[in-house]
Amino acid sequence: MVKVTFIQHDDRTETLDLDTGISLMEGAVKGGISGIDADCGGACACATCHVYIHEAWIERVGSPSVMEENMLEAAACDVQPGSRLSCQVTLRPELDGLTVCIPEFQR
Amino acid sequence: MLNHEDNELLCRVGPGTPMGNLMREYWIPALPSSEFPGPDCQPKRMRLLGQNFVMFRDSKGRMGALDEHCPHRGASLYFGRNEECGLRCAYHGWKFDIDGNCVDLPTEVGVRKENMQANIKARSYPCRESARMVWVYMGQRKEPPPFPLYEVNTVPVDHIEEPCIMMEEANWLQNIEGDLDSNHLDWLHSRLAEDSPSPSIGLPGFWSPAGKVPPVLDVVRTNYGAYYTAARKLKNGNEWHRINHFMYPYHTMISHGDKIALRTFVPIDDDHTMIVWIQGNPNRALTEEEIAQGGKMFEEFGGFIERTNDPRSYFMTKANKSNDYCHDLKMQKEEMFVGVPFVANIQDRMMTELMCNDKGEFIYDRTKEHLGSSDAMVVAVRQQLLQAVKKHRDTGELPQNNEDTNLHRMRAATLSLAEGADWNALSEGARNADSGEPVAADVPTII
Repeated sequence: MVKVTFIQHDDRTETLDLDTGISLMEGAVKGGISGIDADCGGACACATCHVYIHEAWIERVGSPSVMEENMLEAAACDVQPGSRLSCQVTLRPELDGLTVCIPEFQR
Repeated sequence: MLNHEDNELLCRVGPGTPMGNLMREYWIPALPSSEFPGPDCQPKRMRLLGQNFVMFRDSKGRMGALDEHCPHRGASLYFGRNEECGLRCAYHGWKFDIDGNCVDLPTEVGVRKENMQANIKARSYPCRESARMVWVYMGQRKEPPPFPLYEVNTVPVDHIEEPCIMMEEANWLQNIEGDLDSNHLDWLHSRLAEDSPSPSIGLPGFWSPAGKVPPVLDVVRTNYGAYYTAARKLKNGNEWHRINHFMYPYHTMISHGDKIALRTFVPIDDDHTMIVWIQGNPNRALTEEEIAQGGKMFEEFGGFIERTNDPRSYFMTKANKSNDYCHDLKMQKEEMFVGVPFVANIQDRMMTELMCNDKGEFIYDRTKEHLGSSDAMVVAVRQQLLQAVKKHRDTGELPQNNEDTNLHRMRAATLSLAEGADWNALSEGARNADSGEPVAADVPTII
């Protein structure tokens, strides 16, 4: 299990204990975090599970693949340095304590 | 993809559920008027939104819908005697009129009878007949909302065909999503090749002018729901737009030739849906033969099974999931992409009736799906519905089209427009039932 903190655009904050081995998107949706639509169900074929990885975690989470980068161009909110599609981030033990921000909208 | 909670919120419609409560605040087309051919004819059992009713036409020809069970000791009023403006329970003779008033209570005498009769009511539901259907209001308000001014409800009734009705043994949201997803025409409803022979039954299969290039969808959200176009390139370089609507809480309007239409996915309960397709002509009275047409749509494909008094057996086609919908591999090899004729929504039912969740309920678990760009309207309608159902649950406020029935003056349309044209602006007249324009069907639905 890893602790992940989700910060909504209006600063509402929730911390969940999530299984490792699943995607950040899956964990967030199962845990009832709002603001992550994930239309394509994790196929990296839409940009509706966009999140901003907190600055301190960007390096540890890693950078998006070319496929993900292309898809991020379709994101509804600004793409920033910490932008990731949460379906493409696998939760690993070293991400315990991860903090991500959720954009105001996904489309 | 939807999370589990949102999926449940959209699918469950029984008494006390948020979606059930929202749907109860709209007029629901329940059964065809023709099921009640004359005054004092046999009552029918009906089930809507997980609730059982008895429906009957009284001596004055007025329609009534009551909770099925007699308030005395629960006998089914279905076996009641329909006579002298009321339904008399066959068990002990208690009698109720269409408004639920107890008009006789012969098991008591004197003051006891008077008091008891005055204090006992059968729960009754206002009924209204329009477009050859009996509509019921099941909501909380004393006064039902204004009747929806869909075009099929405002033209004279002799412009309207008998409804085409089909039972689906699955949740209401499953088949309706096909009306929001034009892309499945290119596959499920298609013939095998452009020059494939037409099957002897049903419509010739669909053949997209764009081949297998998927249509491009564009969605517009509105205060009645949403509409969208699916644009496919025609051989002359123009784009062929199919413009269809979704209206809260369970209606669609899809372009089908030059007819006006309304489709309703009536939830019988969480896993049964009655699909009611009303069609008509905006300009002229129909012949007797044309009127009968809608009700006979399944005749060429075996018609319906013999029904019981269980409403879930009404309008159940002979081709159904117990016999693979009469799937014919020869037809699949030579004529159609799927080996079942293109008759109303039967092919769609093959696709949606077996969708289920882990519990084996025929309620699809949308946490498992993967949506793409061809699902843009599906996504939009779910979001609109979720917003509406949450708002109604939390504040009691209903979508605007509940009261403002002028919002129902829309039409579906099929248009050929120049590539890249502003389809939304150019279809304004075609989308408006009051524009004076003919139904926009300048390119046939089935090419």
